[in-house]
Amino acid sequence: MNLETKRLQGVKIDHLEAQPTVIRCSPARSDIVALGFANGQVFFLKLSTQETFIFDAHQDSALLKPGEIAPPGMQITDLAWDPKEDNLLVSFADKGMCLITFQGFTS
Amino acid sequence: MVKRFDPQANAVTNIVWMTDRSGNFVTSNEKIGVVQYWNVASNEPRLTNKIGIKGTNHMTYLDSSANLGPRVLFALKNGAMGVYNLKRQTTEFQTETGHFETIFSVKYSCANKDLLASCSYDGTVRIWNSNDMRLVQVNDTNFNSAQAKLEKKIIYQISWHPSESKIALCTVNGNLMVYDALKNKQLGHITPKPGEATFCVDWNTQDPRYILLSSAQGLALVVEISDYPACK
Repeated sequence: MNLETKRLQGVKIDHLEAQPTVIRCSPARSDIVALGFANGQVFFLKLSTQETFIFDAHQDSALLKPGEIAPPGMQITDLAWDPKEDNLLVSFADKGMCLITFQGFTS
Repeated sequence: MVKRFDPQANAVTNIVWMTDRSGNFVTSNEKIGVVQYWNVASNEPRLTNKIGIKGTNHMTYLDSSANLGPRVLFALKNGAMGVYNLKRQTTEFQTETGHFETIFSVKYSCANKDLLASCSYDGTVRIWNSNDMRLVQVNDTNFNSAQAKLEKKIIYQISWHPSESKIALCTVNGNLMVYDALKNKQLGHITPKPGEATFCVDWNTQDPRYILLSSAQGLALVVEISDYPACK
């Protein structure tokens, strides 16, 4: 058996105080990972460059109906990447669910 | 771009994309055993189908290249798992329910060599037929008791009656309970040291009037249970 040692890469994400609840690798983009957090944030990470992007369901106005106040502590209960497109489904503990179209990192 | 779906009665805890048609996905939740069919074009589920009597712990898509159609492998909260055909909307396979937490004790019946009992952190005792591992009976008295709703439900140990189908069990709440394993009927219970967990129980094989019990504070107690109603 040919065993190959690969370098493990660590990415520190301690600027996020909430606990991660779900992690999902993108089936279409091999170096993109999405993490869901207890505070409702979705954290996108590009492993090769360690670029990050945070999507906050509470602060994104596109998610809120007019006059609606974002509820606190919307824990993410599951994430699912669309196997055919760059869509990510996100479910929350408050019984909500949304679809994010991930458009990649700018660089 | 972000799209928001209508909130459901229960929080979605599992999402699985279907590969048969673009935009189709199914969801399940931990509260009730249903799958909901969705398409991204609609804010509401197209269809809701029951797959079990308990909520779903996990669900994985089984991609079928044959004519079987898209299927999901699911694990329910009651320890059962199965395969559900999303196209035919039927459960193709489902296992017996099992423990869904750590099993602390297993004991063969003294009266019937084919029976064995298991107890668990999940607060249930399950009786199994050791020939075919069929689930014969589930006792969830401790799981559903008023006391267990407020506290933990752990059953640490069980002991069979030396000649009958009765079981003595001890719990984290300090309870000693005696019940008929086949009729699933509680015969009596006693809490000799309230608030102290009881870790071990042993039914006297020579004289079934006595049950030995150990408490968290280092005491060994002998309980006389000759009259079951008196145990209450």
